[in-house]
Amino acid sequence: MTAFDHSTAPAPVRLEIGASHRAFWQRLAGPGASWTGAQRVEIALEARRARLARANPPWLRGLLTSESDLLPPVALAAIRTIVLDQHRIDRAWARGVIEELGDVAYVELLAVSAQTVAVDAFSEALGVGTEPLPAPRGGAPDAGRPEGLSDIGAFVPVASAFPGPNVGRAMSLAPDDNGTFLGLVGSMYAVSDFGELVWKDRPLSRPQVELVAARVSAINECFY
Amino acid sequence: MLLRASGQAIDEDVEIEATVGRGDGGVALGASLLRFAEAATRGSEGLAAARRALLAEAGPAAFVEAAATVGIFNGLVRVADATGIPLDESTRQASIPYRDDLGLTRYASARNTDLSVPNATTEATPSPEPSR
Repeated sequence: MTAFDHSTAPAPVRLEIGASHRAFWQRLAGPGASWTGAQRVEIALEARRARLARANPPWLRGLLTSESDLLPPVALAAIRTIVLDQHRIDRAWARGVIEELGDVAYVELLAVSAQTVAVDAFSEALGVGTEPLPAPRGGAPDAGRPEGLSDIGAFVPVASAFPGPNVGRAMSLAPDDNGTFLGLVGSMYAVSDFGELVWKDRPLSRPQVELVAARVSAINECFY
Repeated sequence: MLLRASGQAIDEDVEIEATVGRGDGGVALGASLLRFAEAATRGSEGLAAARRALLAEAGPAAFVEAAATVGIFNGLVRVADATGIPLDESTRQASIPYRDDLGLTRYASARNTDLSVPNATTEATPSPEPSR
């Protein structure tokens, strides 16, 4: 069966949504700049595991721990914070994690975690089971670091020039992962018609979509 | 910001207080969309009922769009907060009239954007005079 075919969904899912999810899955399974394919899939597994605890009270979420032969404890803890308590993240926390992992590894870890959350949240909202994680591919991380980055006040350097909202360049340190992320954004929200305030020929009006988006952001206490 | 602006663009009087849980936003299907978004984001037991209700009221295509929006914004907020990406200047300006009323400035992540300085994210900070 094709991954993300959404055949059991209670409503037909646009083909481009499944395609963007498969593109992320494909990218997830292979090596990145800092992590192997096996480590990346382990990051996704930890993100998925942490997300299941989001309805627990904070004191219980704080007791969540895990061990891995593939990921260092600081990475596991960072994933749990990103998934369960992202609203508490501040510059000092990010600096501490980056000092241990490096900024490229941190952004790659974030990219895998955030995309896993997006894909799983969609599956759950839709009412279908989560997709089994892909089998890792072999290969070594390429240790790549993009050029043309600058400090615009974020915790990490980002692309000096970008035509869209800042969040679109937030993960510039992991350009390939940012590419699949923007693919998800495009299929699940907007890209080419982002600047248009009136959406014609879409199932929901722009205000209806923005109402959902703003409520999700507020529940997550995200100021951005 | 986009909620209010997009409502004005089609002459809808959107109530942005709904974003913090007050009212239905004044948009069509607002109550069902909000119940669905809340249940899916929190992982609450009411998700199945909220899903059925939205599907029945909005139809399959609109239901999928709502689920997709819930999904991607649960990812987007993590990217924004974990990178401390500054608020875009146009959004910063547009949010001034209501961010205090809605309690947005109490969010811990508001610290990541300096709200006190115009265009704070792009203006260079002058170096202090060297001490003698």
